[in-house]
Amino acid sequence: MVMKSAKEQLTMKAAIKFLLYTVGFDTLIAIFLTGIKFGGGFLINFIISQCIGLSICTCVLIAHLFFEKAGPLFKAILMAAALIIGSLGGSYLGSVVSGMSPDILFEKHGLLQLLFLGVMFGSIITYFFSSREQIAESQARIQEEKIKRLTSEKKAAEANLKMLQAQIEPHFLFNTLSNVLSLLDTNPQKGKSMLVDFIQYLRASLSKIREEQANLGQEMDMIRAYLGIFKVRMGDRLKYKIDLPKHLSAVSFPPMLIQPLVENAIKHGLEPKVDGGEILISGIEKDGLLRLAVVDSGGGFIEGRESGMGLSNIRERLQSLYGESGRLILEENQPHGLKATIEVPYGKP
Amino acid sequence: MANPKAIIADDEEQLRIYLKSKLADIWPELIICGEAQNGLAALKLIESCRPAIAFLDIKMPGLTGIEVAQQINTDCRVVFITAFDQYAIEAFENEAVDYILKPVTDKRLKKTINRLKKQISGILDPPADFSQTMDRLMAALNDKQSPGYLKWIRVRHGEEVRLIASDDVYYFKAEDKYTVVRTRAGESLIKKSIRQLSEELDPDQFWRIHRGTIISVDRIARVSRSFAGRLIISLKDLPETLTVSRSYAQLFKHM
Repeated sequence: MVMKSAKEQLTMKAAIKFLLYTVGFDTLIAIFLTGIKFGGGFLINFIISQCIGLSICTCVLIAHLFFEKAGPLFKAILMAAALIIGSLGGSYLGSVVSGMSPDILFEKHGLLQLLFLGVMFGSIITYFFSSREQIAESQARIQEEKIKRLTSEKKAAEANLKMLQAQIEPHFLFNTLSNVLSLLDTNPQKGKSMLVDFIQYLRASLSKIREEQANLGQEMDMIRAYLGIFKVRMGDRLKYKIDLPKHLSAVSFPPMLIQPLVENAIKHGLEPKVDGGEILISGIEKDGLLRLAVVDSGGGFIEGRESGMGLSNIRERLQSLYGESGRLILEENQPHGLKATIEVPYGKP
Repeated sequence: MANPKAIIADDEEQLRIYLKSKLADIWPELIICGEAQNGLAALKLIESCRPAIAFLDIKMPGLTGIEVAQQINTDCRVVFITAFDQYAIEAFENEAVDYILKPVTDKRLKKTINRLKKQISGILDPPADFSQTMDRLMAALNDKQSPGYLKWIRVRHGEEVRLIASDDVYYFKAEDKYTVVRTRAGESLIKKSIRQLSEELDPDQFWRIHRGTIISVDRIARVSRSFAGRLIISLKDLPETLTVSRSYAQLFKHM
């Protein structure tokens, strides 16, 4: 504990614990010394070892308190100084308290012998506690890691479930089917092509195989089908463009990360606007990063708009797939609308 | 009696065409005097052509079908159209309001039309006090769709406006006239005050620990007591520590 790194704070509780352990340890030393017939009787040994132990302890604590920000080498020197001052001061104090003249004590055992004993026991106790503390700390760290892992596994599972649910959003399902049904009477050819888009969208979003081996081209095909459906539904109110360089089509990319952004752009950006607007989907690769942007010219960022599950779900999935290097960036588009960008390391699955 | 008039309001053209053709089959006497593709146009149309019935899609740009219904001050019966909206359907059932589901089926449409015919010819009493019914409907739906807590924080970087996810925030700290938003990536300044933030953020995730500090509970590595008796919070992954003021110390009492 005394060897703790600089940024950690020594707490009151830990200091008291340290003092109590020292008292116990000093008692053991006194019993041991009496056992090997060293020094005076038990009482004298007890008093002297308490004095030495507690004064070492105090010096160590003071050193720790005042030099918290010191480097490791400086700290080691401080600790050695604290041990020496503590053991000498403690010996002196002990002899005074036990009624023995300090001169006699130093004469009887010699300065070096006392110093040696003090430093030895001091080192033992310091080492004992620091290793105990380290063990406790590493156990705590293991526990924390475990919790972290379980939490992220749980989050990933939840995100997957939400993704599955989002794919077959009932409102989208029924509205699309209504359109197809209506087109069968009025424009069967158009109805047929809408149904084809719908089938492609459903197959792509429900296929389990896609989860492991998807690429950007496939994701864009699916988005194209999705937007094709909305083009029929919204007519002139929707314009869109998908701009993905050819060489990026084959890049493997997790499915259903971009699609929800497109869905958001439609649902919250364009649909609420009387005149509708435009969606631009683009992909670029630069400096080892792949950036996929969905820009809409819709209503833009309104507080509350983001309360839907979509965005936090994407963030959670990016987090579990790429850690800190996968990001979802939201910006206001000029003059209006929202720009959502997914940024991931380029070339990684 | 003159033939009854009706309007259809839906933002999707195909669905207007379809409903119109279905109505022509089942209720040939009904005159469709106009179609609207958004809520505002629907309201205007209702005022200009004074229909006996308005078929209103719920999800429309401009005004929603329910908002349109709320503002109608002519004698007009409303039939809502919805593809799928559990809350709305529940509310309609509770208030005994007419509605049809997309895709429109003949059976359901016939049933609705029979009811409408009876209401128009006075056999069945029209729903009492329509505007109050609509107010209750709105209240019921608003209840279900509360905006929720602040999830994204607007941050201006020069000309750009970025949105920081509240999940990424370690803490908010007041500094002069601004508030510092600390994420792993760094600090940003926003104008929103700590007081305002504490009202808008999810109180389960964000705790106020000081007059000028709000911390994300997920980011707390440990809480310790300093020699002076202050509670000191160490953060995960970040070196800085935060102090809990005495008036908020009870938050950590059970720990």
